[in-house]
Amino acid sequence: MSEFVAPRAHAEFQYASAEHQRDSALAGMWLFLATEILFFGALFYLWVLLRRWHPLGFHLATADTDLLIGSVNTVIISTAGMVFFWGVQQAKRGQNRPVLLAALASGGLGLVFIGLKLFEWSEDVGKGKWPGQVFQAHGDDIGGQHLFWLLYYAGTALHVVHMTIGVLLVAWIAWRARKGEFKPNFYYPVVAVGLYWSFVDVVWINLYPFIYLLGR
Amino acid sequence: MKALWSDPAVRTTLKTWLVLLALVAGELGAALLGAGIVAPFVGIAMAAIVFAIPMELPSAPNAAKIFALAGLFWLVVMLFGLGTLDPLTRHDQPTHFLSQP
Repeated sequence: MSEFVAPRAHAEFQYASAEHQRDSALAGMWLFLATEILFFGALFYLWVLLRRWHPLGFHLATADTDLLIGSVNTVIISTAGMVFFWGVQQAKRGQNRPVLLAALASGGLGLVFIGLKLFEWSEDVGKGKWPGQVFQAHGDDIGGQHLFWLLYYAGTALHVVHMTIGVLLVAWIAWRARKGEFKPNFYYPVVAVGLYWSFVDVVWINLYPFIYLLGR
Repeated sequence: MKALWSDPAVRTTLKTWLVLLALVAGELGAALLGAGIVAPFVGIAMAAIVFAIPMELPSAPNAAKIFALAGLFWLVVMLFGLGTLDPLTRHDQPTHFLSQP
């Protein structure tokens, strides 16, 4: 008869150990991110193709984007990602207070990003850059410019949805850190959320050149 | 401050952050100088750094590495491979409806 071995802290019954549970959670998050790579990959691929067919329209449309807000947001999102990464490393040591601070700072930067994006959208719409009958543009290849702004709203709106989910997840980590839940043998929720948060960062890092820089 | 810098976690975070900011500045500068074509490649380099350091892919569980590589693999096969066949082989590209708002 086998001897009963009590599970280690925070390992659910279906896992052999806390390490097994952590590795399963991280693999699950990477599986989800693989679907996200395909999801956003289609958007980038479409962008490359349409840009190739409409170089002039995309070039002219890029000049109408707000480079300052786009660049500031790139710095903000990169900073938010790195602040949370520092929190991940503190979580591995079981330090809850730094995790709380990192999550609050990172989530706050995320909210600033979303606020700036909303302001930029209102600016764009004010300039007549809203796809459809109301769309206004000058110069050649109006159709190409129109397509650029369609992709712009599709890409940035999808990103903001992901960003909003990320802010909620980071807030959830802050709440759990406040309760002192993370320990050296239980920190994988912070790592899993960090993976998602960094992926949202990666998406923006690649949207930035397509929206604001290419052809400027 | 010295004690803070002696923490490897702080050092790694700060160094990575500074490299990312330098790359953002680099691609922005290149674009303003009329070399915006390099910007997407800088973006890919930054993504590789984020995958390697904050996302810790090299030290991730094997299953996680397989899933990450599977995402890239199917992206190449489905989109860049199969997806490119149509635009490369199409001779009647419908540009007429694309050229109107």
